[in-house]
Amino acid sequence: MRFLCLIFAIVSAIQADSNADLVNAKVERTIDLTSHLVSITNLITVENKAATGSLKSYTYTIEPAHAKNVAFIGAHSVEGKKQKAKLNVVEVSKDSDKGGLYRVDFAEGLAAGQSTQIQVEVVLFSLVSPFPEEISQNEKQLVVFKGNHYFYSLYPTKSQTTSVNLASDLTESYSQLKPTSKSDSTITYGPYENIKPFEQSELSVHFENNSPFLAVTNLHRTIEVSLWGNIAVEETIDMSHTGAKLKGSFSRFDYMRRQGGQSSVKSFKTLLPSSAADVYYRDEIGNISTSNLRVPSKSKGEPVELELKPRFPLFGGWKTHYTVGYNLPVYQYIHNSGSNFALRIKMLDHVYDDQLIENAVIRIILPEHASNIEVVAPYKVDRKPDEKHFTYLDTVGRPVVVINKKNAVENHVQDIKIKFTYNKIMLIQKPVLVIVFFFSYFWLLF
Amino acid sequence: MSNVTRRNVSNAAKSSTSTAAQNPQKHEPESIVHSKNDAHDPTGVKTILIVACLGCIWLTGFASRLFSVIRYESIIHEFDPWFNYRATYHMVTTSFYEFLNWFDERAWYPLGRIVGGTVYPGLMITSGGIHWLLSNLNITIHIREICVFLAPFFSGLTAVATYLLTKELWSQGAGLFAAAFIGIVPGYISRSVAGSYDNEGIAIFALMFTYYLWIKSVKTGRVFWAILTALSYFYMVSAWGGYVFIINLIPLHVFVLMIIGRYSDRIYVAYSVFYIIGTILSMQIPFVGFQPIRTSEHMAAAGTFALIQAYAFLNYLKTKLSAKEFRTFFIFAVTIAAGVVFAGVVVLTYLGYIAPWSGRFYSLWDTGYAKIHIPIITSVSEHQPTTWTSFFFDLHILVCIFPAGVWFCIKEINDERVFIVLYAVFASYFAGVMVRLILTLTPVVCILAAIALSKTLEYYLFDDNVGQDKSEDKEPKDKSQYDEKVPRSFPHSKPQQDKNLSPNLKTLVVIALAVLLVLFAVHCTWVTSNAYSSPSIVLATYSESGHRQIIDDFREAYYWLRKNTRDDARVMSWWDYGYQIAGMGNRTTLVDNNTWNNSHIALVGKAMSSNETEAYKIMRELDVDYVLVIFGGLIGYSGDDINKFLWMVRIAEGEHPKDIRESDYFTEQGEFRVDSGGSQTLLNCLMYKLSYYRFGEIQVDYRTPPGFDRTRNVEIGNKNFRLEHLEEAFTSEHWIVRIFRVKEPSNRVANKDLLRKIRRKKSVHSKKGKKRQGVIKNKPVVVKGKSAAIKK
Repeated sequence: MRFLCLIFAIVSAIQADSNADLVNAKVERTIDLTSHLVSITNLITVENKAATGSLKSYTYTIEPAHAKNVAFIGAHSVEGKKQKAKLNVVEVSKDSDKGGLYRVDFAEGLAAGQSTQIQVEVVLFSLVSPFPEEISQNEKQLVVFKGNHYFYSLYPTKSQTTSVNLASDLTESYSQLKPTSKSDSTITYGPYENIKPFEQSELSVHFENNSPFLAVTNLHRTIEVSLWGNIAVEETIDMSHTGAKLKGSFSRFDYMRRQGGQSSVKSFKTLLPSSAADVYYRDEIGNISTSNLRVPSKSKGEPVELELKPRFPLFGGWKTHYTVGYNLPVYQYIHNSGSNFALRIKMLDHVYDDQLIENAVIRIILPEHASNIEVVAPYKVDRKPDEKHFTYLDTVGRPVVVINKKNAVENHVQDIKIKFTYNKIMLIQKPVLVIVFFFSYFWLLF
Repeated sequence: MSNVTRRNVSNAAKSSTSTAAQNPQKHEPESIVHSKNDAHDPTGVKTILIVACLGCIWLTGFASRLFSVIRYESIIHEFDPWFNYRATYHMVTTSFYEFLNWFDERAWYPLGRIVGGTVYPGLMITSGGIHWLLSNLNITIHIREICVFLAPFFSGLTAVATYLLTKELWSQGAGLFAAAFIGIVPGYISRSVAGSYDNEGIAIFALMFTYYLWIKSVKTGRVFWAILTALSYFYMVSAWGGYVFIINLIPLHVFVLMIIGRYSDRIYVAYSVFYIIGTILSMQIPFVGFQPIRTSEHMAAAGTFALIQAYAFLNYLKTKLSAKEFRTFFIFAVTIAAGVVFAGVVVLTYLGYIAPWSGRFYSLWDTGYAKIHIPIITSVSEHQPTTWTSFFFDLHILVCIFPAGVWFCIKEINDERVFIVLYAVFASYFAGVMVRLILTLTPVVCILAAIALSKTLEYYLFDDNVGQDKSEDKEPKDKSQYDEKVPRSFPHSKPQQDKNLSPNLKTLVVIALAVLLVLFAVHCTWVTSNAYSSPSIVLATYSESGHRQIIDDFREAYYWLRKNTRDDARVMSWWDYGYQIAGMGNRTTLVDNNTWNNSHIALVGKAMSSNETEAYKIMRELDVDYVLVIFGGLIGYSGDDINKFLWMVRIAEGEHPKDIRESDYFTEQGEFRVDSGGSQTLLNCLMYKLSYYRFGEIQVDYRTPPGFDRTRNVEIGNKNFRLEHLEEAFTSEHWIVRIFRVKEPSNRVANKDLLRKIRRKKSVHSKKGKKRQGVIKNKPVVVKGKSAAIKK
């Protein structure tokens, strides 16, 4: 299946190059630099200049320098100011010479002479880098972002504006390409007219950003399904502060007086499913006593808010490690007809706002004797060979689906669907096993 | 004497007690009770009741040890348990042989520690074995949970073992009493609450079970029981250093039995088998090795073994020789044998084959010994002599009742009661010497108090239903055996005396006893809940509104070490925290709670008590990266390093009398004070500076000046100082743990002008300067002179 997709992608890439008749009539680009991630929203008005024939897709291009830093890309069609249908985005190629090519399929074919509006949203990671790389406790964290003044595209662009949203209005410097204006924390570039395809000009902003530069370096998420009524979810997380490293000493005295240390992370919020119960927060050496759980009223379906405070404040370069776990009722996530079961659960969940999970390993433990396992992932993931898991009087072991995902951001918080067949009679296997064991034991004894 | 021996020989095949023949009237009822138990209980109701009682006791004992788990969490407590846990974890995650060969390079830097050969592995093997069993049954449980709940679980086994032992000594009723007592008595709970994962937790069970099997083998004279005793002894040896107590008490029992003319072939069989097999088995523990045949602690057992062989041989000869021949031979043989043995021991000791008594052992006999010679032993609070209050605190009414039990045992003496009396006498003495040895006293106190109570109640409960009802609602567990036993045993035991007391008086006595027992139960719960259920690494305070606040500074700082320092970083701290740093911080320590190397500890003590420059030299020599101190001044935590500081000075002085003098740290009036009146040496030593670094700037509340130490209630004497060779790396939220980074020696500055500028910075360059040659050589000398001037 995947192979077919690939072939299809290559074929369509060749097609895309031939879409020379497309023109970006108007591009409004917003680069959001308020967190450690770069979130770019492009509102593109696409025009089909060809005389005849309708076009099916648009090719979105990413600068070669950023091609490796794409965490997420998504598109919508837009009418007026409102987002409409979600558009299908397929990665065509991703190399550092040509840049990344993504094919966005229109909802309906774009007829000759027509124009349409699409919105492409891109999330890039590791592009906002601290500069200087090391700061002392009382210094503020300055970061630098390097991008492109122009909208990087395969097609010529008639008119474009770019606004850059910063985390604060304090800038050390920013590149100027007239017309450029800055008000408070927003820098506006453009409008620039008639830009050729693949045109580049370096945009650089050096500004203060004290937002939490957190990254989850490793996430192990285990979802253990028991058809007796419980789904146990456990996430083991390695987290580090990727901002400017702390230079010299950490003074608790200054920290208590709230002098400096603005870029340090004291606590963050994790959202859990609204039915999460028995939440725990611990690490290798025991319970972490500094956390608050806010449970909303059950009916509203709001998420459970868990305010996590690591044992110590995280300064630049500091790391921590913890485990959060909770239980979910099975009926909300598993549906069946006869012996066909389907599990639908979030593949990744919210860890903190503007999250970046560099490497996630998701292990879904299905009930013992589950078979014919079929995985429907919401986006491209790397599925590893299945494993076996033994617990609680298991005899043949439980099948484990192992999934690996790199560089996940908040947009990746989506449901995964797993179908399997399971004979319900197997539920009583273990009670019978125990009864038989004790019966024969006492029978032999007396 | 000869009569006794001969009779016993003839009786050896039967398993009745030897005293039965001696005091037929007194012991008839006992044996009748026993035979009745076995013969006239066809439905097994009594067995079920006893099993149910023991089950209840097990459950109660287990539950009453869970205070800390419920209040805090399932966590390993205190200091030593952290090492045990770490070792267990190592064993579970690698393999058993890996554990035996484990060389721990994270302890005692740069020496390291051969863990497999310096540890009693019984504890780790026990919990590792349970974990292995459960994981093979596919029951997923983390090794930590097993470690946390091991001691409460074993307390139930201890109760069962105590029941068995008391049953052998006296009666089943007394046995149940003893089991109930040992289940909840604070003296034992103090060492076996959940999370207190220490050797004692399983060793007390091993101790009681070994004694039970020993009594059983003495009673039966069977090789089977003696071998079981040896196996149980082997388990005890693998679990705790307190096995020495067994290997001295059992020979003593045998010796005393011989002296008072109770020698029999049963004892000969029991002891010979036990000693040979037990000694060989005990030598299999790497940590024990050849000690059983080479150290003085074990010589009593060997001597008794030789003696009993000689005794048996003489007995044998006696049957072959005439009385006159025998007497001559006897005197001759005894003189020769005694001379040879004595000379042998002296010569072997002199030649070094038998080690003299260790310091810890001396301090048992001479309480002042450790104070003079080994400050490190005295510095541990649990090695202090016991106060009377702690006897009462840990044993409550039992300590008052148990002498009565001793008296009853002496009054109706037999072979096994000699043993319990000896145990009581010696354990009482040792418990008086060291607080921690109350632990070995506790079981015997429970047994003897149970015997005393059981005997009293048996007497007063008879024929009196009112009293019986009263006791029922107090001690439901103990009720059953009286229902069963009383009607049967009493008509025989004291028929005449019963008529002398009115039923009302009896009721009164029973009520009084019941009240005592209730008070005992209340006291036990209270002590357990208040004194012994704090994990000590997590502290809790209650605000005025009653809201509980957790102070988790230790784990905060240890976890910071674990995650944010180099993997091979070396942390210097006082030895108390060594195991915790290794266990929770997973970093290399210089000294830890296994205080085997006094001079290394003294070196750390010296670094802590020297001024910063001197300390820096020591720290560079020891490759120290971080220094960790515990400081309670901000929130008033009294167990901090400043309060322990005099011990560091004392221990350092023991090894470095030229550099460190305790008197320097006192004022002229001989006071130890940290305010401005304190001695200058104290106010400038490393420990002081690290504890109070930047503390002078902080004002906790408006009524006190800045830099007010809430533990010692003074304003500190030396406030605005800077650290020169160290920098603050981390301080926990409430400042309890402070970690400092040892700086690298700073670079020499090439520019001449710059050099002049930093001249004020004392002796940073002095050390390097000495080694270097050339132009700069003269400068540091000047700098050094200045630094000294600044100091004063």
